[in-house]
Amino acid sequence: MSSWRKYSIILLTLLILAPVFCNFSMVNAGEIPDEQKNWKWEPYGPRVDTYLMPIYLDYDAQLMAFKKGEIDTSFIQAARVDEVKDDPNIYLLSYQTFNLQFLGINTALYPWNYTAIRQAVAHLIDRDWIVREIYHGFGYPVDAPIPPAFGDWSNPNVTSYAYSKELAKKVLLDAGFTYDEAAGKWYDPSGREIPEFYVQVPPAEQAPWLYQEAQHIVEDANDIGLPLKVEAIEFQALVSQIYSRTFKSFILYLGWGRQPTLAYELFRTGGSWNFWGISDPELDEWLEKFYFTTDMDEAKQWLWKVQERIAEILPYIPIYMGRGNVGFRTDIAGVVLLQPLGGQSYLTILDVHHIGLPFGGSYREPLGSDPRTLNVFTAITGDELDVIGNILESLFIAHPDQVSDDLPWLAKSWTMEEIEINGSKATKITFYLFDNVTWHDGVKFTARDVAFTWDFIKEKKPTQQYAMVFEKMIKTEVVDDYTVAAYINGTSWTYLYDLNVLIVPEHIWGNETLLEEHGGWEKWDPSKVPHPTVEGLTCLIGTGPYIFAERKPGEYILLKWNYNYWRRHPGKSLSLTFTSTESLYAGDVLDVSATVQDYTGSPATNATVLVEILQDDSVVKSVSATHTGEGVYTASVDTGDLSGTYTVRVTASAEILGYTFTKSAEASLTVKPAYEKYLPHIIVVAVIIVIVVIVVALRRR
Amino acid sequence: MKGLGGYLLRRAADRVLVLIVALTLQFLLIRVMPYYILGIDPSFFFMNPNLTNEQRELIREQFGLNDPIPTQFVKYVLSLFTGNLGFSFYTRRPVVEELLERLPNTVILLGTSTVLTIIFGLAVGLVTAMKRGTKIDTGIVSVSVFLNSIPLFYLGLILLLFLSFYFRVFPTAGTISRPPPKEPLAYIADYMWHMALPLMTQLIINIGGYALFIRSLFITQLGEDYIITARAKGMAEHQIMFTHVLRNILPPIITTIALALPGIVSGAVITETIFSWYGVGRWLFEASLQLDYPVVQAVLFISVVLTIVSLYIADIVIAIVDPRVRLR
Amino acid sequence: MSLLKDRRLRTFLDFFKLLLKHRSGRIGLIMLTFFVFVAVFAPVISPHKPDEMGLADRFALPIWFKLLPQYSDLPENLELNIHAQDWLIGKSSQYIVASIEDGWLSLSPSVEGMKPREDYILLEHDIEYPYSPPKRFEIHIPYTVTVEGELGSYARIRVYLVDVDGRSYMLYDGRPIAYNKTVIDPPLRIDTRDIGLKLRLGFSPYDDVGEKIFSKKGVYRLRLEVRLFTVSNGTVTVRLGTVYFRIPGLVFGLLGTDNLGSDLFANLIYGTRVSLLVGILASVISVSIGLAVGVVAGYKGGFVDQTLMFLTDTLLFMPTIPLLIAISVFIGKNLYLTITLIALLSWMWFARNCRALVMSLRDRPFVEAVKAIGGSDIYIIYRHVIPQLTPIIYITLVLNIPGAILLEAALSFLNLGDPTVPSWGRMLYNARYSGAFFKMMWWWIVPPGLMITFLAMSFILIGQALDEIFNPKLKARR
Repeated sequence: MSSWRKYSIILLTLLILAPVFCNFSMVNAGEIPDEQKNWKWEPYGPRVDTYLMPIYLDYDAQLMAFKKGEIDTSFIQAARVDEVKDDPNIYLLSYQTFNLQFLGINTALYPWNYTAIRQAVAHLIDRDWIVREIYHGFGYPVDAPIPPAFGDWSNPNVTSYAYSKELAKKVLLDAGFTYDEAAGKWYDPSGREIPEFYVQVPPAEQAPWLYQEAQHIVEDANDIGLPLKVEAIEFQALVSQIYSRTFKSFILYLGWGRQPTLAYELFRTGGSWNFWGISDPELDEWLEKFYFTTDMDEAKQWLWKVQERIAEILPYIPIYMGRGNVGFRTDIAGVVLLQPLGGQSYLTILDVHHIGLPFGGSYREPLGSDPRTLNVFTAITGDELDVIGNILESLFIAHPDQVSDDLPWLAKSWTMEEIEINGSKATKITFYLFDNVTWHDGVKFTARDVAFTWDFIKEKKPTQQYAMVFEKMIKTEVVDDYTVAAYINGTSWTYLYDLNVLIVPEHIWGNETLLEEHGGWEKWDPSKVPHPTVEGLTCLIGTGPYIFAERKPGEYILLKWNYNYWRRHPGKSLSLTFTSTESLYAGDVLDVSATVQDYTGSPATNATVLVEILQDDSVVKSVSATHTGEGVYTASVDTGDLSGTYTVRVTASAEILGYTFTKSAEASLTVKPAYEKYLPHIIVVAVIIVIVVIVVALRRR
Repeated sequence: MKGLGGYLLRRAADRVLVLIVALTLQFLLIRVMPYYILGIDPSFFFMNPNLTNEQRELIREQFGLNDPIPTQFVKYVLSLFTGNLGFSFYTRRPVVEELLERLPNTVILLGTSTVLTIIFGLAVGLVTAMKRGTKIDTGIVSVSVFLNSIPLFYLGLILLLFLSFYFRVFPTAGTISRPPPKEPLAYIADYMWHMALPLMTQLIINIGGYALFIRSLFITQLGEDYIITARAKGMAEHQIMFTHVLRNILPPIITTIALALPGIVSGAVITETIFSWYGVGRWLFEASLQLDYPVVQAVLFISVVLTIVSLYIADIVIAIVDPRVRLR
Repeated sequence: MSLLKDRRLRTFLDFFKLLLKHRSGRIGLIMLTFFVFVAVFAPVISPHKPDEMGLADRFALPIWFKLLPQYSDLPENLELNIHAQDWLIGKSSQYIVASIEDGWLSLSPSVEGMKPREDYILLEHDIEYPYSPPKRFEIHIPYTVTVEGELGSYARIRVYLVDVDGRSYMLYDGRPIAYNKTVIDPPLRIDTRDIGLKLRLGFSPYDDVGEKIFSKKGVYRLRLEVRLFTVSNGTVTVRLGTVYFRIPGLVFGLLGTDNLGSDLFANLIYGTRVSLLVGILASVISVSIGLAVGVVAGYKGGFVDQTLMFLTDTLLFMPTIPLLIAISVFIGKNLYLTITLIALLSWMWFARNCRALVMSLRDRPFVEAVKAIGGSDIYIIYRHVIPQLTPIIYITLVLNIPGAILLEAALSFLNLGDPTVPSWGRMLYNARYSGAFFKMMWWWIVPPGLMITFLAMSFILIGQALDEIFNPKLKARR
């Protein structure tokens, strides 16, 4: 018994002393490295050799791995920022996202069908509280239908719904509703008692924050007597209810693209995203005008009108616009954020690298879920598209300095013309493509691939990439190898954006027997099918900076850099410097000493170095150099039979991670006839002889 | 031997009946309830608002949801027994393919832990039973009681935090390094290194309970009359233990082993979740959350069949070891 | 009848004495008594309820940390209500009239002087700050604006905080208000977590504004600037209510606060109730079902026996986890539902044991004898069979509890538990998902783990003691 006491005392002492040992004082947070701060994006790359995507199904494990340095970057949830921001090995970047959280309402359902009820609930959402308490300040409360983040697309003068229980009550009373204070019950204008109605959210184990949020809104509603309730419903079931329009009302996120084209589908009668079931002829008219014009200013003007109406009838109630936080290890630079909002630019995957290692190395970015498929037309989750986005490319991308502008990518330029086909208005969009692009398997990328991809999408109507433009597309036209055009019914500024899809190779996706063999276009996963002709590749090939290399389900996906990338960084090559004499006399030995380094800066010891002497572009002499250690190669060239002006060319080729790099450098060489070497002597002798002769001659006289 | 044959036949009939009823229950719970009562439609998993109603109908057709319920049941059972476990709603990949990706991990982790638990549990139980009443016994029993009371997830998290995060001895997640070493031996070593923490957690939690169970089995037997007789005859203690007692407690031990076997396949949800172990248990848990019924049904089917088979094998073994049971 | 009761009571007491004679029983009982005490007196022991949020800042440390020198300055909750009469009038135009009505400070331009004109007034209040830097602070300002007469008059409000060194931070810059406006429900709420505020003050999104502004101990000054612009035939009045200022503390309660600012100590104390309830209720239900099925099957035999045992066997194959998930997803999460499910999935082994025992009893001579003299089945079961089963009932009752407690904790940890119930599993779930494990907040992590372990252990120990009491052979030593 006494020993037990002894141990318990030790234990207690430890517990009391523990806080002394734990250090809770502020640790210096990781600073954004200067190289990152001053980074100017480059559309060339990729700088790293491998892009490793380890899978962490559990966010906690991902964060732990990030803090341990097993991965280079991680998305940081708002609630977890505190843990990361004091870590000296991590820096954080914050950006405004396009994600809008909203309360979507089934406007056909009693009592949600009363506009006043929707307006009252809009007044009952304490957006400030939600952003502060649940999202720890990382977001902006929004009550405008098109968030102000969209700049001049957003109408600032729409009806706003400030949080106020009094106003909520007032809205209802003004609309003819009555409130029985004693019983705490509301009656609609026809005298019917308002029954319980619901906000649906995924259950707490799937999205605790949404549940908590809904709880708070409901409590406020109950305070004024509105019998609003939270209904926890499994996410898939909720989605199924939303698609079948049998939902009640729900809180979820909407990812607006960089242009608010979604408005057309959201609010139009019968629009594919019009889950709320609104139908307003005037609104439809404005939306048509907004969508089917090529004049952006006009489009904006109509969208403003749309917003005014939407803010009145409130089919969906915006709540807040999220801010994203992404953390990097302090040895990472080259991250490109879109300005002024939107997150990481596509250019990040080209520019990102480790500080002190401008080229080479591995970038490790975690995936939060195991990609189900890497088929670009059926992939849905952000993680799946992330992987595919490193492999396939599109015609143009968002400009990193101004997200609403475009940066040409596979297409050099494009034109948009209004034409007339059979008496009706149509649009012709022509893309002029770069001609130096190849697929990972070496096949040339041409206009036919683009046309094929468009036709494929038009025909198959896949989950991803399908848009209105394909429904209206009349035909595609391959003008020449590097010019492709699409003819589309009607005119709309959005066509250009909708045509900008990820381009797939015709020689793979157009190979019907191959697709059939592996389950058809919808079922097959190209990353699991070996390439028909090139060994070591899969059918998941693109024109992008990375090649799909390896995958272990549940563990990781490994991408290798594309050696033949058409935008390969010019700096990513061997470095070669050599010294040799500029001029010498025939018969002398020319000593050449070359230093070869790979792109990471370490000496290349397995290189073959060839020294060639050229005259008028034809090789006169060639000698291969031998390695003398530390990447220095030397060669001696005999110049006995040369004379005149030559070029010395040193060519080094070395293999780095399976790719052969070649680099050459040149210098000029003048070989003088061997006798010139003795010319001074001869002259001296001659002069002496002349002098002697003159002297002798003079003496004689 | 006729007695044994008859007994085994009777048991077989029983087991098959149980299997059929269990399958029916599962069918009702997994196929009928979600679709017909709760309205979970697999076509909605396609997350595509562009789908037309005809396409939806086609998807339902593909999943066989348009047949009458009895037809569906027959098809369901037949397809299960022919190894056609269907396609996952969520990934749309064949369930078998996905299962095979995960099965090795689970079998290795839980197989090792089950075997080690049984070996160590038996050993510890035997020792404490033989030394019952001594300080060693009291010590081991107290430790076992304590270990048996710790929540598994708690122990797992603490181990992960300390051995992986603060003292970086073990990895944080996964079954192998990403990417793993290429040489086979190094690969195996890497795998073992990743398995260390989950295995440790499973063992610490399970051994205590199992040892207590074995100990109480032994001790119950030790009080029986035949032991007293044997002692009176002057048999050595270890002889008594190994000849008389072990023989008598074998049947319950075999039954517990038989019941542990299906777990080797169906996995351990919490351990796999905490240590990001790519196994079946976690898959089952996630599939249940995502209402991915083909997956749930496949895993449950396999574990039910395994339970029944292993229990039947246990029946056979017990019947051979202890002929008395045949009379029951 | 009273005699019977008395006798039962006596045996019960005797039984306790027996239990206390065993060491494991003694330890188990002491531990259990502690837990029961905590559960019963939870509201007395814990000053707060587990569902009160925002009691202090999130992740506040336990208050006794202040005993240690390096934490002695940590901020406690600091709350101030600044009433109308508490304001110091700093600078002001000469034409502004300030008056107090019903606790509201009313500010309006005087009628004298040229119009249109702009008047202003500075209201100031000192805040004594005696702690090390906090993380954040918040200010609530209720006010109304009344515009009368000709259109064009407006009011504009700005809020500043002046630090010890005289640096002033503009916390709020209101737009001109040219119409009647009531900012009371809710009041103007300034909170330093807002990213807009951080960026406007020139801080990074990751800075804690409270820490930057209240960086030293000393006197800080809250300053309100009210500007009134009046046109010649109009006027504007601003009425200011009680201003509320709060710095949430970084230390709170015996165990600090969680990610939502709830009292962890309250969570721990109230969690005892949940675990005890789950354990005992689930065990009682499960034992009752098992007993009923076992006794009926064993006593009746034949077809009834076959059917019941078949049912039992089948239920053994019911997959626990998917079933629990499915039900929690579809029916919802309710503590009693969880308890029922745990019970329904755990009675089968007991039923089998019971049946075996009853079968052996059924053929004993005394049962035959009672049958012969015409005793009904119910009578026999109640008077002769069940008493024989008492030991196994008690033992199972007690030994089922730890399983139920651990299962409930595991379910809560997988977030399949009732979200409205403060259980220990839930506490650990919250700890994990808000990063308490990383931050080594052992005062959050260790107590619930130990509580679960010791509660489960107390029942196992009592069960062991019961085992030895009922089977004295077990005690026999060599």
